Amino acid sequence: MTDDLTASDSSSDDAELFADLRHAIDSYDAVPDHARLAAHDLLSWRRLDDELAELQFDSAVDAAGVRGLAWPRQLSFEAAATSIEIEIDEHHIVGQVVPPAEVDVQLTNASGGTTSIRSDAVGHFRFENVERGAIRLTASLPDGSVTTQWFSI
Amino acid sequence: MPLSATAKAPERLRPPPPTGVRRPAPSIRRVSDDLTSLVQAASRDDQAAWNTLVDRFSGLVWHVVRGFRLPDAVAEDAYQTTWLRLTEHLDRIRQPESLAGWLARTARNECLRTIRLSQREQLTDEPDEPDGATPELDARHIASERDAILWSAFATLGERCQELLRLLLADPPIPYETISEMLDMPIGSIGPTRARCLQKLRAADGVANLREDR
Repeated sequence: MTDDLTASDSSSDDAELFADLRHAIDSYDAVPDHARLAAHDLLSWRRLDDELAELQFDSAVDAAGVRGLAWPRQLSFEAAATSIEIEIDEHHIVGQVVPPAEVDVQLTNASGGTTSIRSDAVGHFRFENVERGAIRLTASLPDGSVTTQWFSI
Repeated sequence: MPLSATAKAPERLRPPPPTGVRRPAPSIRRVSDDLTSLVQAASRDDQAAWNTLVDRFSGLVWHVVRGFRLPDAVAEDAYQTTWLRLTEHLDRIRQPESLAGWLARTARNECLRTIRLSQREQLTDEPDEPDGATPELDARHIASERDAILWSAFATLGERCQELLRLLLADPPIPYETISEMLDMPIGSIGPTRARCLQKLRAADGVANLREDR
């Protein structure tokens, strides 16, 4: 048995060890059931009637290469005729709907909880005490709602 | 038309894949068709199809996320955000066979984003202690002593070995092109690196004796 490490058929030894490792990792670190089941629920959260505003810029990622992050973190989402610009600083989010519009803006978190506020005449809005995790924003514009992609804070 | 028209060698004479990694060999066509209908059904709000997709690719996403040493809650957030991204992306998947690669890249990007943010905020609430952590046993699996030894040995490997092995363990498999891109490693280096990582695993405490009690 001590010769095994020098055995000619090392690739089959590797395959066996690899299979054993897979079993070990699955035993100790499988996907938690609550996480998998929560993922099942996510499909029903799509807002198919809303226009999706896609993430165009995130200073947490796109400012890479610079030592340290640009702060506050800035994100920019764009739909065809509307964009939503935000800054995240500690636990609050300030943002603007562009072109400026006085509309309802709703924040949804990944547990399904929502908070709504109304933007001011120049489209500014502010959410306080936003908890960590994935969130998205929906602006209810007169022509239809615009929802951002999910993003993590 | 007889089969002899093809230049292919008979199945048994074909050389093994260059990487030496054993891959499942399902009927590609069938799996891909199945995946296409699942993706299409899920994008039409078919809950059962979505659940099947999540269940099938959960392990893959989790392996990618766990390749990073993030606290559990942060890892679960990255896992969840990956699936949220897929709900937004479902309508645009033109090649369902690329889903494994897309999920792997998306999960990795979410982790990298989290890590960049945590550098600013010290989000990681506990220092990384890969060796010291007592593994929590998952109640659904009965872990043997073999599992325990391998799990401890795995934790002693370097970060890059752990990440590579995790990516290679994913089932359904993550395409080599994607792994190469994710780790910034030439495709030709994946097989040899995997072999070296397994060699290190084999050299860890207790692992060499495992085969004897098989």
